[in-house]
Amino acid sequence: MVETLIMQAFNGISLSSILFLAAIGLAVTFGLMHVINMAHGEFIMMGAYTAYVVQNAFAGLGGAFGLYVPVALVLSFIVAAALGVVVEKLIVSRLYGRVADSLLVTWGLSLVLQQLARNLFGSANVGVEVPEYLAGSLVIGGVALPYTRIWILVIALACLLAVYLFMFRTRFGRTVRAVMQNRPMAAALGVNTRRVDAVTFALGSGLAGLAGCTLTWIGLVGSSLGQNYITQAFMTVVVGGVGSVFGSVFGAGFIGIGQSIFEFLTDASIGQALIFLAVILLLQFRPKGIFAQSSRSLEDE
Amino acid sequence: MALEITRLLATYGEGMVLHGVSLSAEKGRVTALVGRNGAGKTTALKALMGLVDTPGGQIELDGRRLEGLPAYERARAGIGYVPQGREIFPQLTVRENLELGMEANPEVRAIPESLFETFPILREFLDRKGGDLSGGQQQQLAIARALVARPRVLVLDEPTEGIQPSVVSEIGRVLTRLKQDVAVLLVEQYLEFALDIADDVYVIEKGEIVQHGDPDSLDQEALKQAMAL
Repeated sequence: MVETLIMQAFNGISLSSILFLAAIGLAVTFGLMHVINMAHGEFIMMGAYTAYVVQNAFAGLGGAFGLYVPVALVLSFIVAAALGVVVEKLIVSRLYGRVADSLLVTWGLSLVLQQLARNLFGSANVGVEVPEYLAGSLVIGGVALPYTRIWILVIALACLLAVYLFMFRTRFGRTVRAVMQNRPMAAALGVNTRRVDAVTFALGSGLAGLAGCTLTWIGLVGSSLGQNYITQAFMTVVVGGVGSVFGSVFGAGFIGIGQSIFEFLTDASIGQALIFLAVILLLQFRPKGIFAQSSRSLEDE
Repeated sequence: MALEITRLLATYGEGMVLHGVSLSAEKGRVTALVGRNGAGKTTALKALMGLVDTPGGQIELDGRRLEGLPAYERARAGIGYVPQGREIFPQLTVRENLELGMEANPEVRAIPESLFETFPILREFLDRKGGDLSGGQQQQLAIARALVARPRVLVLDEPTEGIQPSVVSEIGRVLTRLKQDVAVLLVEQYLEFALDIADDVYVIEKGEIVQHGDPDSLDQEALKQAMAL
């Protein structure tokens, strides 16, 4: 009984760490630009397919096969970030502040990217082989914790630390927070707000790609991979509060652990419904999320 | 150092708010733009800063034309802007607010020590959130933040609004001292304050300059009329 509980808690934390990676880009870009990016899930998918391609490239290398993991992690970030740059320049930059329009346009983009993936990689799901050193589990007492999920947690924590240092300890992070709080004033002080938007969007997309890479170790890769996580990623943002790093951590924990508990107590579909219900209840009391930033641009709307 | 605005037009949505405003501000003088609520004072400064549409007119700062540039380029060209309502970043610390001032001038690598001599209160509150400061403290922070980048012209929009009298006279003293190093352009509704510290006064009414001269030479009757509600 105790083992099952620990197992469930670990699963919840594991899901939370993935949700954090998927949601942090959404939280910051929405807080910054007021654009709802429905195609964010497809950055996750791109990251996953990047890992798949890298794995195939390393397949013939025998003993060196395991080295594909660090390469895939870096490349999935770079590929998704590069895609983010293109999407931001061509599409998102024309939709600033137009929430409803951005929703429709990026949803269309999401469909296009999914079809593109089907054309490139086929409609069947593909698998990524977990290297030997990630296979297996850490057994403590009667509880078996898969190494893959432990590593995903470590990667998520490393990313959290990196995001924190970036946002609160660098000059660029300072300008991001300033633009989020008061865009015209930041511009009037000499901040190139368009550049801040573009770089932030790219970094958020890159983190989603990284999330996609880690997902290949715990499931199959398909064109709809991003769709499986986008709803929960949006809930994470809404629960945590737009534009807040800590909000994303808390939101991811709330959704991830809550969902695991509900699914354990009931079953998968009722568990999903219950977590939605919990989010609705929470938003009755904190409509702007737990860590709501007092953002001037939000108040104006 | 001199700022020269010529026949500037500005629009807000559909309506024209400035109908060809011309004024100049130079180092060594405090230039004041006065007028009643809605006369176009704030819009004139926003137009100068590039925060509203300006379909016509010229802005020249030390020979460089600014009217086609985005706001951040104008700040980098040397305009230090202290907006109405101060617009301090509430979630950023006082230190971070000041450090943001460096964005406009890459040569400035640290907050100049002289600012803390001008505004000693800021050193005490360096690690406090900007939003936790009182109105007068925020006003001093906003002026300091604009001065960090060593601008060519300091532009202030109603710096006395909602501020206690002791701080108002302190700000007056600071501006009079600052004009030796930087051109000061001040927009003000508080007429006594403006006339007291200004060397050159422009009176604006319905988006047009109706009087210009040193404070003593102005037509007092017309001035009263322009300021009356």
